[in-house]
Amino acid sequence: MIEVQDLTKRYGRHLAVDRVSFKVAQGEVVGFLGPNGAGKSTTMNILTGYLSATDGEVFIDDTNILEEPERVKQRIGYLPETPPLYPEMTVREYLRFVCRIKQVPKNEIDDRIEQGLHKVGIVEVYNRLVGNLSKGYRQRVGLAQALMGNPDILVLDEPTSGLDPKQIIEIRDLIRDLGSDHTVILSSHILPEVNEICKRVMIINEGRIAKDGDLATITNDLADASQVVVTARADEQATRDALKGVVGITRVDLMQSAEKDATEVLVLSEKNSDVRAEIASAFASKSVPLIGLRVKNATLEEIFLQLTSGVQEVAS
Amino acid sequence: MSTIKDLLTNSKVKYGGYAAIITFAIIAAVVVLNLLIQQLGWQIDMTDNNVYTLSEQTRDILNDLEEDVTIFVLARRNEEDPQIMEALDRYEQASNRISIEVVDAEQNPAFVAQYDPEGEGLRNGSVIVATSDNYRSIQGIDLFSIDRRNPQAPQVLGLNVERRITNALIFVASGRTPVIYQTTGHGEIDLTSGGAFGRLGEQFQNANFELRTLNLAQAPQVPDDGSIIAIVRPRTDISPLEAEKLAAFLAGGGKGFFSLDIAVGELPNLASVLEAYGIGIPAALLVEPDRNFNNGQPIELWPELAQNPITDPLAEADYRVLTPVPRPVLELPTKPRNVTIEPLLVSSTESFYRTDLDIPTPDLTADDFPGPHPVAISAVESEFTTSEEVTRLVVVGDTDFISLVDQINGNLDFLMNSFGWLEDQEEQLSIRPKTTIQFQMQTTGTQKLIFGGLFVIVIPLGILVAGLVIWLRRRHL
Amino acid sequence: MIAIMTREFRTYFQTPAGYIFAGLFLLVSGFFFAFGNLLNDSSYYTSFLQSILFLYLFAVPLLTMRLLSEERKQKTDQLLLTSPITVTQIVVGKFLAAFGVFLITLLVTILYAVVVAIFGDLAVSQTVGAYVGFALLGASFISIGVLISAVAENQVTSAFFTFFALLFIWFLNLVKSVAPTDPISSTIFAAALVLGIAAFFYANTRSWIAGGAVAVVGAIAIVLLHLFAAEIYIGLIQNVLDWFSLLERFDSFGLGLIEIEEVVFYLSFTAIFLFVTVRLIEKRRWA
Repeated sequence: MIEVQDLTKRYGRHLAVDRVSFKVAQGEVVGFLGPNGAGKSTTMNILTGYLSATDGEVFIDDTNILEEPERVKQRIGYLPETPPLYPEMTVREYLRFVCRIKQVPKNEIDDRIEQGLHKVGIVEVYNRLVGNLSKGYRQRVGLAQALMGNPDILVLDEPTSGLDPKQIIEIRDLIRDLGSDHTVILSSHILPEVNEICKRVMIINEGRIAKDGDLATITNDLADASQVVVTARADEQATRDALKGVVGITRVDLMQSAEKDATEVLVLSEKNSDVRAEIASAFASKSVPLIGLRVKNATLEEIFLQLTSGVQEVAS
Repeated sequence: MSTIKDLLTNSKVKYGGYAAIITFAIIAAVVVLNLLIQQLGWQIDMTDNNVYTLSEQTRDILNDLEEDVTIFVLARRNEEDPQIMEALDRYEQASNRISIEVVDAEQNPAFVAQYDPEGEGLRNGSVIVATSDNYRSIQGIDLFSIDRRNPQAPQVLGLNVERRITNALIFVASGRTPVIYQTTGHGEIDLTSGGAFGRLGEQFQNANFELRTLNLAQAPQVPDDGSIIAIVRPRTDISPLEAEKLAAFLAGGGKGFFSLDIAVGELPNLASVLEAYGIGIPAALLVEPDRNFNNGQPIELWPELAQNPITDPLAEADYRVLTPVPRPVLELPTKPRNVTIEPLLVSSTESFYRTDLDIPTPDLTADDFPGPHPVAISAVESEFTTSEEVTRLVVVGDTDFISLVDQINGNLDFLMNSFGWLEDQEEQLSIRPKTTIQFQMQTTGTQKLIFGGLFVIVIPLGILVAGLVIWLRRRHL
Repeated sequence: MIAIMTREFRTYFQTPAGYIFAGLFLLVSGFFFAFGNLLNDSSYYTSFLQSILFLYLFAVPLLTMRLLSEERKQKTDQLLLTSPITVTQIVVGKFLAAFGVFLITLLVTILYAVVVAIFGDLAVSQTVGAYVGFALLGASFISIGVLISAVAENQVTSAFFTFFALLFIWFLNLVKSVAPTDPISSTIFAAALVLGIAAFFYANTRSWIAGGAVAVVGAIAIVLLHLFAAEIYIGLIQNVLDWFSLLERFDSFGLGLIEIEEVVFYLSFTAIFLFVTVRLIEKRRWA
């Protein structure tokens, strides 16, 4: 359905997107994962026709977006990083305008808006001024906007950024729901979000696709160690000593402790292992007071730390 | 090989650096297109009387120009009168032989002196129409038509550019001034007395005619430098001797204008001269019962304009000629074959002429001669063999129309066109001053206050308040 | 295009912008009419339109400042450019909206003409001609504002630069009367023009050949003209400035004369500015 070939975008000397190629099949829900400035937004902007690529091509169902931009754009709904809203319009006026520029037939506009309002849950702010809405509502109005043209492809750039937890959950549910009958590409820098919504993830860093595949495989690949944070009311030496006997530990790194008179260390163990029970009993047997023990999930930033420190390894 | 279309649709070309070049090329093409359209000089003249459209006559003169003519506008740079420049531009556009130059008289006194040998003072604002060996200067004030009815406050009515310039063109192109000899001794009126303040005299001057008087009885003959002899409203018939001189003058290629009325009655001697050209002037009154062709009275006629070079421009301008109390001018069956007679003004089919003025009814009787009849006719005599034109005559069976030239445009044009035609300057004709400017409004103090308040306070404030209300109402949506 | 135009047009009247524009325009023009015509009992209406020409300096920036700059700032251009409409439709729609607001405001001033017609003789044809010219001139100025709003970062810079661009046009009108008319200055002017175009070609193609070719062709043209049509070099600067002068071309409309070349010039001027606006937006997407 979507095919991207050697997409490159150059801003002066800076390479924002570097020879990116991928395909997305109909009905897939794909997550772009990467830190800020990795090229996610640029890629999406090119996909939706907002920017032109320096090189490379985008095909939607074998149609080049440069050749028939109007036809292709009609099939894509796009929610950019900042929702494209006119603060001086009411939600109603805004959506009506969006319908008109998306070439929605006149007699279908009312129905389309009605459905959209219910879908994203903004019925109650229908007659309010966009500029007076809260961030969460604005995001939803932006999402409603993307749905107005009844597109079969949705491109959502950071759809949950800036929302409170309850709103995040609602939006995620909504996107999951939309995924059942749309091809969705969304971007995020939060791993769990992608984890929750997407089956397939592309990790983008420095303008390139670092990893492409389903999420479990990727995290597995990337996290080459399990991590546990251990806090003990003891000095560093005692803590290290206490950990010495535990089988499976590969490395112990000192961390900055938040608590006074306590030592906090990061314990790395073999992949897919859980060494918490062993650690607890080791501390107990050595009578070192253990005051904290928790699994540390690999955040995207950490994965990227790993990725960027071991680019060769990942790239190979 | 890439085709043009490939070139244009290629994304590199479309968005890359070459796009700028293509943009440039398109702009250049539009500029060229503009220059081409400029050459066409198409325009829509919105003014009521087509101030900026050259008359047919002027166009003919321009087409006939055989030498280059420069129109010098004396003005400081950028201080030219836009109306006059605009009107002059039409000449430049219409003919390759015309060029317009702006000269600052203050900075080029030597140049001006060339055209002002008598040092009469040719200042900025004036216009000089010049060929290489002939010129005519026009004072700036003469380029406007001015209402002098109130001598204390003359008012500018409009533009007089075309008439002045076209006549100057005729003058410089031909290089001579035709003379009109007005006969005296029979109670004739002087043409210069027609119209208020001698306006008619001015008209003749504008039209490059020189008016002189001639006492036929005393003069040994009509001078042969005189192009036209005019007998206007005689009160008595000419003598047989005068008739002889007149006939000799006409036979020698002279031209004649005759304006006669019923008051003078029979004119046997003059009639005998005109008879030789097939023209009859019965002492009769023309009666016009058709209300479409009279002025309320059956003897005040708005005759129909026949088709001929003299009246065609009037018909074009939708002018008519008022001839109060006319007598008929007829084409005689005895007309020689080498004379062509064309009616100029004709009465309607309902009209008739009556020789017996004692008949008491205004209606047609058995003694009357049913119409239509000409009120004025023109006659041209040509050589039998070469068919070269020799003599031209205009005979008008009315004299009062001359005194109405101020009130009725058609009358003025008819008179001037007749002389123009006689002088074979059909083009010269009725290019009339064109009204462009009206200045005055009349409002009372209260009205000034009301409308001033409305426009300065109520409307702007109303809009601003409306804006404020809408803004406040929407702000809290 | 109609959707863009309608939205823009309604925005003018749903925010204070449109009312401020119309209100201030009519305030100043009403003032000029009251003091220029009404108080003096002068029915010379075209002189009134001439006298408020300067209003464009302030009115146009007010009207066009937010058109495209605000889209970019609010990032709503992402919505427009990813919708199935062309950039041309966007730009023309915006232009038409601004022009529409301007026309409506101008229509109100016809009330003044009605007052003149009631209390005096209105030269109808001249008035109609002058209005046509006034509107066409307005369209040209608005197209300049549209272009500037497309490149400006925000409303303020947009208004600022539009004001100065228009001021520059007024300034040119003054300058041209003191511009040198001698052949040498004219030749220098022509050479500078050729060099400018050559530099433009080089800058855009990065090819010395293209730039050089333009320079050579231009130089040959200058020499040939000197040899065969030397009169063109007398007052060349003034003639070129005159030709491009928007204000100068308005004059003939005030005389009641609609010259097709002037109409075409104003329309082409507007079209070219909108066209360049479209190209600039396209170019930015490419950059």
